[in-house]
Order: sequence, then structure tokens, then C-alpha cells
Amino acid sequence: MLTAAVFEMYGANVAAQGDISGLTGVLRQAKAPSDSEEALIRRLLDRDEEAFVTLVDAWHTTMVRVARTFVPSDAIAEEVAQETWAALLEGLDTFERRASLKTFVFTVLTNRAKTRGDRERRSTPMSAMFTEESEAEDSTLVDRFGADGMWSRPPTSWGSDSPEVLAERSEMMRLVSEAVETLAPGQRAVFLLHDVEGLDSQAVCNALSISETNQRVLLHRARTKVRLELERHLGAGKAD
Amino acid sequence: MLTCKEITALVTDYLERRLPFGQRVKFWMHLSMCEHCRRYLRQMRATVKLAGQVPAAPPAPEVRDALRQAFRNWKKPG
Repeated sequence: MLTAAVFEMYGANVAAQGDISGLTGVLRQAKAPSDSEEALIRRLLDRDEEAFVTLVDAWHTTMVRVARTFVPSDAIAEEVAQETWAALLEGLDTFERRASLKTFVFTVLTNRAKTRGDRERRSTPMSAMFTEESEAEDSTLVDRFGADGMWSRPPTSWGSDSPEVLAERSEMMRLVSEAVETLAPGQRAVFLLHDVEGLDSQAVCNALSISETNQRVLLHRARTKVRLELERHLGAGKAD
Repeated sequence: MLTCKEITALVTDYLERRLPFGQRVKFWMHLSMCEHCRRYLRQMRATVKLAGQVPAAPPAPEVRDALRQAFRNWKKPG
């Protein structure tokens, strides 16, 4: 019987992995411009303005949000994002396609934002902040368990846990975006790059110059917090 | 036996496939018996998936125009 249960879970896990690759597909659909990246780069090199604007529309807003986790104001974040586009144009003719263009752009962005943030802030360098944040105790779910480590206040129903069904709800995307804004800067940067923009962990680690472990801790805390925020709005009696 | 609290701490490692096999088995065993943690896992997956679907908001028109201009300047030969 236990074996059956384990197999069932294994099946669920395989389905989950299916989900994850499915997710990449969804991401491409939602985020990436319709052209293949290769084609876009070629069009850019041919000085095709619309190819450039397509990328700006797809990435600029998130770039500002990511930059904002490093710098003290929206205005500076906007500046950093615009400078990144200028840097991309500067370097485009020599762009080596070892990384995806998206990874390249976000890496240039975070490096510029970090440098700018350190200069503006002068006190704690960003790099230190990322580490400190992941070393502190995570208290997000602290009041949800009994002394035995079992749920004292279990997760409440969202009406449905199916992403397809949830995505139908008109407020859903706004709720997710607002939840992201509640995250501490390091968590927000990792969540935006990994879960919102779909960069892989290695690319996120490189872009932020953090270790893989550190990245996973920040991602975990970010997801825990975002889920909790969604629960606050969707959970307990608001649906079902 | 893993506790619910431990499940919530391991859920990202599980979803990112970073749990060693032994831990994964313990994780499944707990899930097979705990409805709350199964819901937690489903909600966590939904959270990640929804995050990836947040549509890209285009920048403000003036920003877009400024970048368009930057592109035209770059485009000029020499």
C-alpha cells in the first residue's frame, strides 16, 4: 500500500516535471517576442527598429523592477534600465551568442544596477545584503505550526489550486505583481529573474553574483511569501 | 518522518529537483498521508506558474520614444 502511495507521488512528481517544462513553454509564449531569438538578433543587426521595440516592450518594465532592488529610487532604476539598452546597442555587433540575449541583457542590467546602488548607498554593499538576507531566520510561516511541527493553521482553500482556473480570475495577475512588491530586495530580484522572467538558476546566480545555495534560499523565501500573500487574498471563505 | 514544517522548508528544493533521493522518498511519504501539505504543494506550484504568466507591461510612451530615438541614433552609420 505504501508502495502504491509512493508510486502515486512519483507519478505526481513526473507530472510536476511535465509542468515545469510546460512552464517554460508558457513563459516563452507570455514573455518572449514571437520571433525566435536568433531571428530577432539578426533583425537587430540589420538595424530593424521594430525588433528593438519588441524587446523593449517585453523586457523594459521588468528590467526597471529588477534594477529597483539595487538602487534607492524609481528614477535611478529607470536610468539604469535605459543605460542598459544603450549598452546593448553599443555591444550588439560584437555580441557573442554564448548566452541568450535575455540573459545577457539582464546580466548587464544587474551589474550596472549594483555598481550604481553601491555608489548611491555607500554603506552596505549589495553583495553583503544578499548574503545577510539569506542567513537570517525565515519567519514567514512561523505562526502556522504547532510545537510538534504539524500545521496548526493549515493552508486554506483557494477555491481551486489549478493555475489554469486561477489565471481566469481577473484580479490574479495584479495580486501576483503586488505580492512581488512585498518581497525584500534580494528575494524580489531572484523571484523576478527566475520565476517571472524564466532565467535558469545558473543565469540568475551569474547575474546577481551569488552562490547557487544562496539563490535557492532567496527563491524559496520569495515563493513562500508570494504564496502566503495570495492565500491572504484568495484563501479562507473567499472562494469555494 | 518529516514534519509539515519541514515539508514547507523543503518544497523549493523538491520542485527544483534538488532533493536527494532519500529525502524525496520521505517527502512523498509525508505527502501521501498529509492532505494539508498536498494542498500546500499544489498552491506552491500554482504560485510559480502564475508568476511566469504575468504579462509584460509595456513601458510608458515617453520611455519607449526615448529608446526608439536612442536606436535611431545608433542606427546612423559611423
